Amino acid sequence: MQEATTGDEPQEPFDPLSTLPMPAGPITVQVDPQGHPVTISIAPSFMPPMGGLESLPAHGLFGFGDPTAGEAERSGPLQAVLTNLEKALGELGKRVADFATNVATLEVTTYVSDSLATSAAGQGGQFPDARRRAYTSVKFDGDTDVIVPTDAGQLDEALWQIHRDTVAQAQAHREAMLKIVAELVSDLVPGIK
Amino acid sequence: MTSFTFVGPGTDDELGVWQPLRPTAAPRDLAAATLEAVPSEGLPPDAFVWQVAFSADPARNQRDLAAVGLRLDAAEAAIPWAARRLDGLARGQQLRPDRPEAELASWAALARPSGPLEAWEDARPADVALLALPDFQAAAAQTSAFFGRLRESLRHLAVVQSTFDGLLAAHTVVTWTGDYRTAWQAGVTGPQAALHLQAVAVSMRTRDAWLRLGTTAVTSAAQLAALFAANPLLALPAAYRFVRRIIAQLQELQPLPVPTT
Repeated sequence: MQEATTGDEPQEPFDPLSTLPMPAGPITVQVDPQGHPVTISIAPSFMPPMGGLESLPAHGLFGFGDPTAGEAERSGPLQAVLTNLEKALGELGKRVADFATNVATLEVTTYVSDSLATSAAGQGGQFPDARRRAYTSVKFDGDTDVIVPTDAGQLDEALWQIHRDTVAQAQAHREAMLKIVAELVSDLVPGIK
Repeated sequence: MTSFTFVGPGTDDELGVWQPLRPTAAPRDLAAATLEAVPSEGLPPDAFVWQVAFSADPARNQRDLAAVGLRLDAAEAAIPWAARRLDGLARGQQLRPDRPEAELASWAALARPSGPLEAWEDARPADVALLALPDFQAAAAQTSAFFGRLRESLRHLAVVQSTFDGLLAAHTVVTWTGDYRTAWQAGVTGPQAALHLQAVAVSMRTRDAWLRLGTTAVTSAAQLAALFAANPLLALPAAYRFVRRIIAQLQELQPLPVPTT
């Protein structure tokens, strides 16, 4: 309970930091891609001095559980932000691990269908009802496997050109992905710059 | 006019290129939504679908792709620029006299914990005023939808479909590691194939830009947390909104593509 004051008591020098509640501290997301646990921590760049538990604001960390407002009203928007952020970072962690595992080979496959609208792609993006006409596999060590499209024993020049253009684009995209994954790891994993 | 659409959460695209297609029902996951929202049967069940509908006019198709390329160029330049400006804000550098900085500063002021005297007069938590602001509520909802969409785009295979004058011409599946599997309609022409590959490139550039936007928002929010000390999570919608505004500013400044006809 607050005690009555006269206003004549000696005043402590005002310290603006003393008015700050304890910050929420680092946001930590743990993912476990392929059995290798990874923790991503994002810490505020400025951490004011921590008080004891009594310095916690009544509404708690991240504004959840405020007794003066409805839960949905107060925590709804931020709860959704936090939930989706954690899920996105978790998915990103898995994808970075996938990328590191499977980056050694690049595969480009070209199919042709007489009725593309009904050539259903199955799980994993394969096209079981379309004809595979061309294929290229490029490994990091330079090994390359190629299947070229032929028509009545002759190279199908038009389709082969389309396939080669697709391979060139896939290689450019792979380079862009390498760059972006390096940036992500540098930005999100502390200590890597 | 060429239309660029995807199936996923949100009401718009931060890059100003794509229009989201809302799932037709409330599905448990996007895979189900994808199958319901997209009329073609040729989709894998684990797809994040990008659709580009070209017209029958080759010149118009090229013009529209050029315009989209310029918007992506501007967005790709804007994201690191926004990060630098947010870094300056977090370090207490003098504010640029610009609207994004002014809005962020006003939001931070609303989220500042009150001093002892004010706290005595008004015992509400310090973040109530900001959370009640309609613009902030909108930013929080957009931030949430954005991270939901980012997650879905990472979680599923990317599928890019191109139609010409309403007819499906190509269908490319891109795995997260960059493998391409493309099914072409028999008889597709070289120019149509080239346009489809450009559509795939636009889709992947968009996904990459979303990733950069997401990481910039998160890292910048962590830097800005001290300005939103009442609740550091408030900095995330603020940083996301700031980056969006910088993207929009740069896109407004870019020249329009020269008409080809």
